Amino acid sequence: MKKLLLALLIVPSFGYSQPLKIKKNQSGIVGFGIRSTISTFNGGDFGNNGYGVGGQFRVQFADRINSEWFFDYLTANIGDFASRRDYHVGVSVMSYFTKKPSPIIKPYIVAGYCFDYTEVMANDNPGNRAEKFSAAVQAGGGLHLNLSERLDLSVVSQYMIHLGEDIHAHRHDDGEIEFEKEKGSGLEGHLLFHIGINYKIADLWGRERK
Amino acid sequence: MGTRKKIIAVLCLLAFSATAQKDDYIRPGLLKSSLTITPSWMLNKSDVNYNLTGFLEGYLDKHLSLRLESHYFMDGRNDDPFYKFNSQNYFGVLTHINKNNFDAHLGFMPGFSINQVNGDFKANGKHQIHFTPTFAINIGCTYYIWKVFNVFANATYVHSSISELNRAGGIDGRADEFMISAGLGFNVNTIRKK
Repeated sequence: MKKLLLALLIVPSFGYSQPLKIKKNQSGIVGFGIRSTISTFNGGDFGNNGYGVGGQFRVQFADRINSEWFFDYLTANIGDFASRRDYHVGVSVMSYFTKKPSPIIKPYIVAGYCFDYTEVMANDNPGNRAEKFSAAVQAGGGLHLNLSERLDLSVVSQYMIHLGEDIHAHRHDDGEIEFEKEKGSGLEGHLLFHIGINYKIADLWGRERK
Repeated sequence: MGTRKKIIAVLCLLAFSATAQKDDYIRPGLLKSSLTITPSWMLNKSDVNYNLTGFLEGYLDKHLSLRLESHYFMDGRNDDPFYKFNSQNYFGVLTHINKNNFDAHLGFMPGFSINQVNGDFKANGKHQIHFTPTFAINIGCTYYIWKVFNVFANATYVHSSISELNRAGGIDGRADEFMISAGLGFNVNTIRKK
């Protein structure tokens, strides 16, 4: 057991100190990371900010094209009487303005889609709740701040539009809280800000440069 | 020479010999860790928490490291503290500037907390458990005394906002904290110097 723990500590330190070997091109570079999210909800009568945490897995397709497969968990208040949880799973495609693998600042535009599950509940009675599944599309821009050949800090801003039904929360005069689903209510959206770190593991495919 | 003078002389000699070494501890493969007690001041309410804090940090190069950090709530200064239970966990990146054995850092760490709040009950009378996204900004410094010991001081800002609380009933979920930690740390170079 002790040997296993020691190995778990030492092996990554050997790995991360190795320079990243880029083969034929940047296609095939895979990495992973975690991120924090601020969600500025614009839809609904109670547009409280939400905060989230999540992770991403990146697979680069070409020198200028990267993809990000992500999961985010967000929580937010609805007024002072209810709250919501959002789970986002999706993919974004990033298009870089430069072919350089690791300039200090690497800006990009991003677009993609995601599937999301939302649950809302009354704060004083979590049994009073509603949920929905929906799809969404998102687009925006961001930049990688390359801290090293393998590690970057990424800052992204994107607008996400949820397609399909929406849930609205109402508080009646007698204090009763009601959640109402509206089908096809349209383009409820929110502005997302992500800040995260990402570590490039390896370049998995492509022939070695000679 | 009295005993007291001898002790002071020995301490001075030890300090000089340590600072004169200028060993190359800060390099890729350096791992450091510690466990300490951390007071934290809640910025949105008048309460002070006491946490058990642990971290593990690995250096990618002299100016960059990855850090895993956890804070476990032990008690608060007030008789009825805000938290009943709180476990915060972070993973992030730190940038460093260093000279000889001295190292200063600034870092950003996304994370989450699993918590229970006093006065926040389910319908069945049990405390609700919340999973709350958080993030931390960490600034601090480390002085490497020897190949396995260092002393450190950190200041951490934690942003946390717990939803699902009965705010209409008077419980405010904003739970930002400012933490101070210091103590003796342990370090080991896992890669031999080339």
